[in-house]
Amino acid sequence: MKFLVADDSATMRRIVVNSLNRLGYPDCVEAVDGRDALDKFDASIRMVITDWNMPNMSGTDLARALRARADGRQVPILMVTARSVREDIMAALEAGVSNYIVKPFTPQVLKEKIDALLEAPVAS
Amino acid sequence: MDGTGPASGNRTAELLYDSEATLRLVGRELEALRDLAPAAPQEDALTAAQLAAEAEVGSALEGLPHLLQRASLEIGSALRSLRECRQALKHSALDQLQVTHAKLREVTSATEVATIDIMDGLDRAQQLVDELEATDGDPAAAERRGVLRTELRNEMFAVTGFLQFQDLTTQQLEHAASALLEVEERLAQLASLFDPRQAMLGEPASGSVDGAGGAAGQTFAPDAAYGSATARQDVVESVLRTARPKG
Repeated sequence: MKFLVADDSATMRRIVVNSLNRLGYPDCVEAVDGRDALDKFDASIRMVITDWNMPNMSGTDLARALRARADGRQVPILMVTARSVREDIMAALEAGVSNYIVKPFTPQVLKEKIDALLEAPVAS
Repeated sequence: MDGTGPASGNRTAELLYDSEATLRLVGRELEALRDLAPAAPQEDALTAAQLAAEAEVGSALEGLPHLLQRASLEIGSALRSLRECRQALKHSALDQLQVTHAKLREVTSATEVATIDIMDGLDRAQQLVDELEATDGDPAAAERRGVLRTELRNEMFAVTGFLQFQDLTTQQLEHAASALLEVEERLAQLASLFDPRQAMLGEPASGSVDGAGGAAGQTFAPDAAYGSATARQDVVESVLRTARPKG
């Protein structure tokens, strides 16, 4: 099961990938921003985990771009961001984000969200 | 709207130009008067030429009050504009500097809290290692050692998670930097009023805030924080519940 992890912070990418590895998902592709993620996305990606604020393309723009693609319409998108204002969360959902985690997150929260997304059908 | 925007800057610059032009005009008139004035008039030896020169001086002086009045009005207008700019700058700069100060305080706090979290985690890990060593070689404690090893892995993993503070403090610093850039831009706008030629060339030293703090390509979350993550995640869950009621 392949994950695509997009974050402009190398520290955060490493933390998320380490967490995924520990949760039993060793196959991860890293992207430095939304545009890079869009380039690296393909039908083999089972879930996208993305930051919001990134140069070149934000996480919400990435979500919109993926939802506009035939092969990205159903992929679960998990937003992991420091933004926690209600309006931001709503905006992310409207952009096509499937679920949302506030930084700093605990491994437990990440696990719960991933489990829920892998079980549930995507509501996009 | 404040008075430091480009439109206000252009208006003030034009006023300054006009005033300068008017003052030059006054200067030229005065120069002309000085040239026309007789070098050392002899009371009893006024020539026809000197009389003609005096008549010309009189004629030139007639226009001078009007020119001086115009210059005075334009200078007054420019000064009012500058006062407005100064007030606007004072308020906005103060606000931005307070944002910078608040963000820097948050960085200090986040760094301290994260450091304590990491130290606590390492202390717990150390205790687990000590306990593992204590049960070493005891066949009856094999199961306990398995539990301790799992706990130790969990502690080490949790410590990795605390390192998220690096990303969060980076975002807080970027926010502070963007506030400083905004102050710099406003100062540059004000400075350009005093040197319109520089305004034509006119970029602030560090360029626009777009790279770091502008809305486009903004690389920080304005509300990035290391603390109260659970409370903020609760807000998310609340929004998710109301936005997407499960069927």
